[in-house]
Amino acid sequence: MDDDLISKKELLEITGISYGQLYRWKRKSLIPEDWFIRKSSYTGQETFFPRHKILARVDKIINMKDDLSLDELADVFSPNAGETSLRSIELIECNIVSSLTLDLYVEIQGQQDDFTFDNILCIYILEKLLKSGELSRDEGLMLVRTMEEHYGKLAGKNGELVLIRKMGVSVLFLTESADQMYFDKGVKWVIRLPLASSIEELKLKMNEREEE
Amino acid sequence: MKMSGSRSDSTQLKDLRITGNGSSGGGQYDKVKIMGDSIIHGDVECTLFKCTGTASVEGALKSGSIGCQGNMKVHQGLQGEEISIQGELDVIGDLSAQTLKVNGEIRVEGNLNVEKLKGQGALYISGDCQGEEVIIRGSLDIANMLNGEVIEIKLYGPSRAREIGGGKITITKAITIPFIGKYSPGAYGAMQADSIEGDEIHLENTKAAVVRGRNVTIGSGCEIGFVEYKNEYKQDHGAIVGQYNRI
Repeated sequence: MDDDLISKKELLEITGISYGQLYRWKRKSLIPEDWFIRKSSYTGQETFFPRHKILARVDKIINMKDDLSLDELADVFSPNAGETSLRSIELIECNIVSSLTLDLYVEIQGQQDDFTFDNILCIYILEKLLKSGELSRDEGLMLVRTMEEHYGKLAGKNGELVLIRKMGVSVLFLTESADQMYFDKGVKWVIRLPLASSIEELKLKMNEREEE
Repeated sequence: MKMSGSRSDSTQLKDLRITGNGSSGGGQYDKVKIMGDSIIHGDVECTLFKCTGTASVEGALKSGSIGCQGNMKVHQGLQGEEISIQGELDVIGDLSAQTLKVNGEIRVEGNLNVEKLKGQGALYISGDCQGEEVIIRGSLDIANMLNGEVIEIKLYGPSRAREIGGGKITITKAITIPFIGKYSPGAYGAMQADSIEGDEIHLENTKAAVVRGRNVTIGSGCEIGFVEYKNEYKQDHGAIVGQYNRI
C-alpha cells in the first residue's frame, strides 16, 4: 500500500512545484479533496497522495496551465458534465468520434439533432472500447443502453464502467466504485473504466475544438 | 459565481419589507429589507438582502449583496456576492461569497469559501476556510484547514487552525499599548497550528509542530517543532525552534 502513496514533500521535490501552487490548485479543485490522505508520522500528521494519480494530474496541470486558465482547467477535471451540445456533423468534423461509431449509436438510439455532453460521452466511450477491441458490437449496444438509462444517476460523481464475462456471457454495469467487488473464479474482469478519465479526455478534445 | 435574477427579470420580482416583528415564508424577491426582528421560514433568493436588527432564515439564502447590522442566522447555507456584516453572522452549512467583510463575529458550521475575506473580530469555522485573500485582525478558530493565496492575520486573541497553507502567510502579533498596573486578558494573541506550509512565511507568536516553506521567517514568541525551508531562513532570538533543515 505504501508504495502507492507519495508524501507531499516528495511530490514537491519530484515535480518542482511549490507549496503555494499546490494549495492554489487545491483551492481551485484541480486536485480532488479525497486525494489528500492524512497519516500520522514522526513529525505529527503528514499528507500523502495516491502516487500515480497525483503525478499524472500535476503533469497535466503543468503542461496545460499556459493554455488554459485555472478555472478552465478545473472544469476539465471536474466530473460534472460540460455544457456544450454538438451536432452530428461537428462531432465528425472535429474528430471527436468516428462516423462508424456515431452510426452505431444512431442505430441504437435513433437520429437526433443535438448531442448533449452525456450523449457524446457515451459515444466517445463506445468508440474507445470498440477500437481497443475489448468490446464487441453487441456489448456496445448494452453499453449505450446502460449509459443512456443510468448515467444520469452517477453524474457529478466519479463512477466506473465495468464489464465482466463468465462462460461467454457478458455483464455490463455502472457503479460508483468497483473497488470492493468480488466474484467467483469463473468471472473475468474485461473492462474497468473510470468515467472521470474519459470525461477529462473528452473535455480536452472539445476544448481543442473551441480553440480552432 | 452565478447569480440568478438578472436585471431584466428582477424588475418583475417584488420586494419584501419587514419592519418591527414579522415573519415570511421566503421565496424569490428583488430586495429584502428587514428592520427589526424577523424569521423567514424557507429559502430566500434575492438581489439584495439588508438587515438591521435580527434575521433568521430557516432555509438557504442566496443573494447578490448582503448587508447586516445586527444579528443574522442562516440555517441551510449562504451564498452571496458581496457580504458585509457588522455584528454577528451564524451559518449552518457552507458560506460562499466573492467578498466578505466582517466587523464582529462569524460562525460557520461548514466550509467558508471566498475570494476576499476581510475581518475584524472573531471567526469560527468547523470545516475549511479558503480564499484568495484572507485578512483578519482578531482571533480565529478553524477546525480543518485555512488555505489562501495571501493570508494575513493580526492576532488579537487566542487562535487555532489545524493546517495553514498557501502562497504568502503572515501572522503577526497585535501592537498593544500596555496599561500600567492593568492586566488585560485576551489582548495578547497567539496562534496554534499543526502545520503551516507556504511559499513566503512570516510568523510571530505562533506555536506549530511543522513549518515548511521557501522563505521562512520565525519571529518572536514562536515555538516551532520543525522547520523546513528552501531558500532563506531567519529566526528571531526570541523564538524557540526545535530543528531546522534546508531541503
